[in-house]
Amino acid sequence: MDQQQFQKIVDEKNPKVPYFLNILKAFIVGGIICTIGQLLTFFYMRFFPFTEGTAANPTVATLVFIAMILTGTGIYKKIAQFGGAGSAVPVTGFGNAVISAAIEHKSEGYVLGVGGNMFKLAGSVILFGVLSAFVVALIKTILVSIGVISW
Amino acid sequence: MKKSIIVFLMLLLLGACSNEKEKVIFPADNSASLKPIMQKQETIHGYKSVINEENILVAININRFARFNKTKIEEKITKQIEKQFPERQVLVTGDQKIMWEVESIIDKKLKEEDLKKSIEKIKSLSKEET
Repeated sequence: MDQQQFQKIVDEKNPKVPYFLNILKAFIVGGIICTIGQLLTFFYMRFFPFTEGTAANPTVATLVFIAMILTGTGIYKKIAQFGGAGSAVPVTGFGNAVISAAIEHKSEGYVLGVGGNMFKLAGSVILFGVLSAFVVALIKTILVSIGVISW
Repeated sequence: MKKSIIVFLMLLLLGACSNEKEKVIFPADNSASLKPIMQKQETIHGYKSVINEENILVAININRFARFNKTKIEEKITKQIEKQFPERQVLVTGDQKIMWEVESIIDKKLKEEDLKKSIEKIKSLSKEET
């Protein structure tokens, strides 16, 4: 039996991945999280002196705070199991990655355990976020200096 | 059940049609030369404006898909108004917060001093950056 035959049998035996259902679930869960974020933005604009531009910061902070509480109580795990990428892509997924790592390594002490491992997973988010922001800014600078688009 | 949904949708549909009160200039008496400029803009579907001796504040409702060009639209309208009123400071913005603030000024019908204070407050608000 060679590799291809083996792979064929494996493909037949494996349960089919319900792609469409997963996408639908991710859409709904991600949409609900983003709706909550939009409502928070409106809340901060209505009752505090924030504009559309500046209200994003307290909104993100609040969402990460909510994600923190949900992760600590174990509810976010259930949401993530149902929603998949829909709960991982918004900023709550980032908060979950930070806080679950912190909880996991609490037994190793606060400095080397929590402090050293907190950004284990989220560190790559920060690194590639900064990197991709740099690349996008570079592309836009080039396009502006050529004269294709304006700021 | 079905009927109530239809009635609800009709309400939403008809509610979207009555946009005439979305176009307000306060105080109304010196709006003579601002109105034609705002009237001919095609990318917006409403505006609320406050005027005093030194400032012109215009909060605009930009059409849904034109919002991608928000900054450009704001600049374009600002230039047109500055041409008409060279001696005043003009602020045109599509920001929802400023729209609400302008609405509250119009609702309270503020006069001279209070109006000036509120306009300064809004201007400092719009300058804030993240």
